[in-house]
Amino acid sequence: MIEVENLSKVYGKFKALDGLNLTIEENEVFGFLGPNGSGKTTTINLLMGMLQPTEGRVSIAGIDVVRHPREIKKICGYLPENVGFYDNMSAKSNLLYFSEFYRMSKNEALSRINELLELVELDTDKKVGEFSKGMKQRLGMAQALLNDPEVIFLDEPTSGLDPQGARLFRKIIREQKKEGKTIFFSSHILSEVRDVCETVGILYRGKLITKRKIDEFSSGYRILVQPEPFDDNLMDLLSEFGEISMSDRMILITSERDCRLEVSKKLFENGYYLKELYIKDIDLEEVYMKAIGLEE
Amino acid sequence: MSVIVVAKKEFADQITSKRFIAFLIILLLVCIYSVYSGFFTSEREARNIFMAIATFGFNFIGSFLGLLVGFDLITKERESGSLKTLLSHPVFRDQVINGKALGAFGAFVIAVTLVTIITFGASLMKGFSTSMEDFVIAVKFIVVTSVYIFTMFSIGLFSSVIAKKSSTSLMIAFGIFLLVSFLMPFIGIMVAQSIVGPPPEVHYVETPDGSQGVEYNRIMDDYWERVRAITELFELLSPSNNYNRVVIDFLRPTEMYSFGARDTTKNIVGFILYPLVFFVLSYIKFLRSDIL
Repeated sequence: MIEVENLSKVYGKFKALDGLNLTIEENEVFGFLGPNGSGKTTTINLLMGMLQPTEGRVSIAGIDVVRHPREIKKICGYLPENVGFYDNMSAKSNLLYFSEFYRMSKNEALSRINELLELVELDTDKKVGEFSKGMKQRLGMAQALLNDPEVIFLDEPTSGLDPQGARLFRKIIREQKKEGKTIFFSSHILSEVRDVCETVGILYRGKLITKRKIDEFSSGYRILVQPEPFDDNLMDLLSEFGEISMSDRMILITSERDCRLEVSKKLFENGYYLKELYIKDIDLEEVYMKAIGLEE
Repeated sequence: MSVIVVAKKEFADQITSKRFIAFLIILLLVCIYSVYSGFFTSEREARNIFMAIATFGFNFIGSFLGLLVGFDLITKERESGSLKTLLSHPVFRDQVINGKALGAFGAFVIAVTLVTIITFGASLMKGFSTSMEDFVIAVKFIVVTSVYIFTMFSIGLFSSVIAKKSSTSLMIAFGIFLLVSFLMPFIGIMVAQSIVGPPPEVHYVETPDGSQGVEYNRIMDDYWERVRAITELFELLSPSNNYNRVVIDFLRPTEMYSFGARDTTKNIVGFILYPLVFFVLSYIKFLRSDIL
């Protein structure tokens, strides 16, 4: 759905994006991670045709972004970071204004707007100038979905949202995924990315340092065991299952297979009891820090 | 037509904004006062009213209206983030800037028409005589004055496109305004004096046939002609000067000058070129700049 080839953006001597190559499949939810200033927003702006690349090529659904930016905007929706609106107008008037750039009749637009405002749980006639950051963010999500886009770009979508709002956004993203939409999701909140994304890319200093399916980030199984009693013999006892590390009365076994049954049997046979035994999910923060750390 | 969508919104925003309404009221009050005060209107002819409202109302307050409508047109949207949101929808940047300019021009035409009609009505109540020709002049006046306010608007728009913040844009806009409206004529005089030098000293000697006197007049006329050519060149760079000349030209082409009628072609060209140059510069800069 999204094809990026050798995409670069240079401002004077500063390389904001350096030879990005990326492919995002149709109906994929792609999580875009990276520290501040790594080039995430620049990438989204380039993909939306809002910035001219210094070098490289981008196409969405087979449409060249540089040559046909208007066509791209017809099939894409975008929620920018720090989204802004016309403060002197209501939420509905703002959306009605944006709807005029699409081939929608007024009735069609009004019905779509009502549906979207209900979706983002924004029911107010107040002017946008009186909105809180969270309310603006909800309106931002509504405007991003206004044209029922095939591809949705979300730049830090939950910043400024309360936990309830953030949960609503995650629900909307899952619903959009079910409807077959492709979602490009940039965030700092790793748990959120892990929650909704299937694929994750990490951008660092304008370069994509890794891109994988989220379950590919962990090689093998990480099994956490908390036996009772806790002593030094455990290290030798469990070493046959894989690499062992101990900390704070917990044992972490890194194994190539799910060996929980064998572990529990072995411990029981040797007079130990189990307080905890579970497979630890991948720690995206660890992956992220490791990737960034390696680069540094 | 995305440009019409933007223009409609801009027009509605302008005519309902407090800033615009406040200026409209001030313009009306100044124009009506200038008619009633009797300056320029000692002869009770309706066409004198245009002279009065051009001089007192639009030349000064109209300039501010144009500047203040234009100076934050882009910076405000950039600061609030609405420009980025707008541009994420299928609308080109040129449609945005053209639509904004069109909407603002529409608002200026409405303001000038309203002020002209109301002032005209007030003067009729004061017993001014009018004719069909005055209505033709009124239409010309509305068009020329709207273009003049648009000139100031284009200076404001240019500052708004090149500046990152509205406060900076306001300073740039006023800087350009002061330079072209007030300083340019003085600069012209200074440049003329430095190029042409002081007036020539001619020793006047009376002869029976008067030939020395004729020679003296020729030298002085030549000197002042050179001074005038240079100062007029600089005056062409002053939109308010061009506006005055163009308005005077169609109001009273000959009577205003004891020296005889002046050719205002250059002023008309300058008057038209000014908004064009600033608008084209704003247009190019807006299309090329990184808004995000």
